[in-house]
Amino acid sequence: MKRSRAQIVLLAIVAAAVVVASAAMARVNGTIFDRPEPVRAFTLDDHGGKPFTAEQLKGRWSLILTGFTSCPDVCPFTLANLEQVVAELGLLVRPDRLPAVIFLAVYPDRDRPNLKEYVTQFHPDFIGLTGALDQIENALKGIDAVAVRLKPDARGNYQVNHTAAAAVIDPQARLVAKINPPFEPAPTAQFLADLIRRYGNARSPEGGR
Amino acid sequence: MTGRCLDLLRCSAIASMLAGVAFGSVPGPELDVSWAGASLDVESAWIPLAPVGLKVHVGYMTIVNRAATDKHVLGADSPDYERVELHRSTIKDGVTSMEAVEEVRVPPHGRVEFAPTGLHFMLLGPKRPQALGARVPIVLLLSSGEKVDVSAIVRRRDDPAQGAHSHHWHICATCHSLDGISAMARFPKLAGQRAAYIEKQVRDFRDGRRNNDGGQMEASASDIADADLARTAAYFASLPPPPPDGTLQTNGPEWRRGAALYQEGDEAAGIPPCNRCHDDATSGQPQGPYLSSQHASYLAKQLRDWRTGIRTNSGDMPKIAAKLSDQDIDALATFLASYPRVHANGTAAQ
Repeated sequence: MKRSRAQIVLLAIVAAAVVVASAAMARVNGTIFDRPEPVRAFTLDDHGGKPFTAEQLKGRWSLILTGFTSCPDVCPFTLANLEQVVAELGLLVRPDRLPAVIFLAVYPDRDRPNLKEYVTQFHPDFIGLTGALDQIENALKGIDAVAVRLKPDARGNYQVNHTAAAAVIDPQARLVAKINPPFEPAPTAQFLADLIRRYGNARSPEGGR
Repeated sequence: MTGRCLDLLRCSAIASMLAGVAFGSVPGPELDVSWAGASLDVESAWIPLAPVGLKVHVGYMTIVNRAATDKHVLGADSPDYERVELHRSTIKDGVTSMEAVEEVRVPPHGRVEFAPTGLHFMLLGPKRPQALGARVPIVLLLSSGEKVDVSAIVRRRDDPAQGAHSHHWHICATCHSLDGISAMARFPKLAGQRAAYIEKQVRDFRDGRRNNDGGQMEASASDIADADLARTAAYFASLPPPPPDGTLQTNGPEWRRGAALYQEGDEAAGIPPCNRCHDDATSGQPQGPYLSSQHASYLAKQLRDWRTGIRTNSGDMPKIAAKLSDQDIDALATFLASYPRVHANGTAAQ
């Protein structure tokens, strides 16, 4: 069987594309939603005690992750990595397109006293949010996340099972994508830079719709 | 400055064994030299700096089992915390959860990593404020009754010695040059050197087993983490080896004496040939570092330091150097510095 040169070139391009795509896929667990979804209204408090509503998500990009402040392992790992992601992203996009990093703390009674120290340890600009349980629930639904507060165990350890991904919210306060662990700085930053440029360059505010 | 990582030997040596188990005949823990019997080593133990006021901290480390039998870690204690528990984080269907773990098996000649988003030591109820760079004692409790003392260092999660931001070799390069071919003869050329040798020397400097440099390396090396050390050593090892020193007179009597010692040794004086262990080793893979194309005065100084006992971090070299005369040392240094590097894979430096 003899293939034309064009066929061979095409095959080579497809093969190369598959290799490139799988290499990128292996390192970035990012999902872009087909249809951006506006977040639900919520009113929470930021870590300084000031009200923070869904409206305040408008005008800039945000990364929102779910957690609780007595989470010693996964949440700090995520926050530390997101700090590195944003640092890397600073080399790739305009400063006004850099996302805010928002930590949605879902155990308000326990989280409120620690929240400021907890989030600002990773970066002084990081924002911690918490508040009434129903408002937390609204915020969670808007970013397609869940949090299950478990009863403290016999030794009094508090535990929350929660979504590991961070939600990517565009400047119109819409959920447009999610990024998943391990949040490797360089590939995650590249993923976000591509996403931000794509939305930033689109004439239609509806993005890919 | 405080060292950032755990000293393997020290850790093992102080691994206290409870009497009555396999070591019933060992007369107490002062017999530290039998540390290999402790069989569990811990590497790179660290505790991330936690936000002030947080009552739950976490510890990470790699546990290495050098024994031929399973080891089971049942728990841990620390004088700095009210309680230590074994936990595992898992991410399933996009949801992260954490559960207590009853015991962790470390397979024979295997290792288990306690690392972010996986197994970890949960440190509850800190008894004192955390301090960056401080060491926290943790005692691992094994099913055999053994206890293993661990010293974990407190550092930031975004420590530059971690992960993608590792550029420690820039610090080394201040003296050893970014291409590993140092300009000044008092700093050895590292380019193309064996990674294992570089790692061992840095550890030895850091941990006080080598100090024949006036303390400079101890100060520089105290700051390097084990994982970063491995990458840094690999970096210098990967560089093209240095060219031989072309300014030295070759084929003169001194050079020929050096060449003869290197290739044949001096049987009468009890000096084995250098190339039994070094460079194009007759025994196959070189055991010792590459010496060829190194600075002549650096080599001469090292041989004299072995001879006088200022440098001691090798089993064989003090004995061999004791038999070398001053003329032998100068001859070897001249020959080796002018001798082109031939790697085990056959590539030669220009």
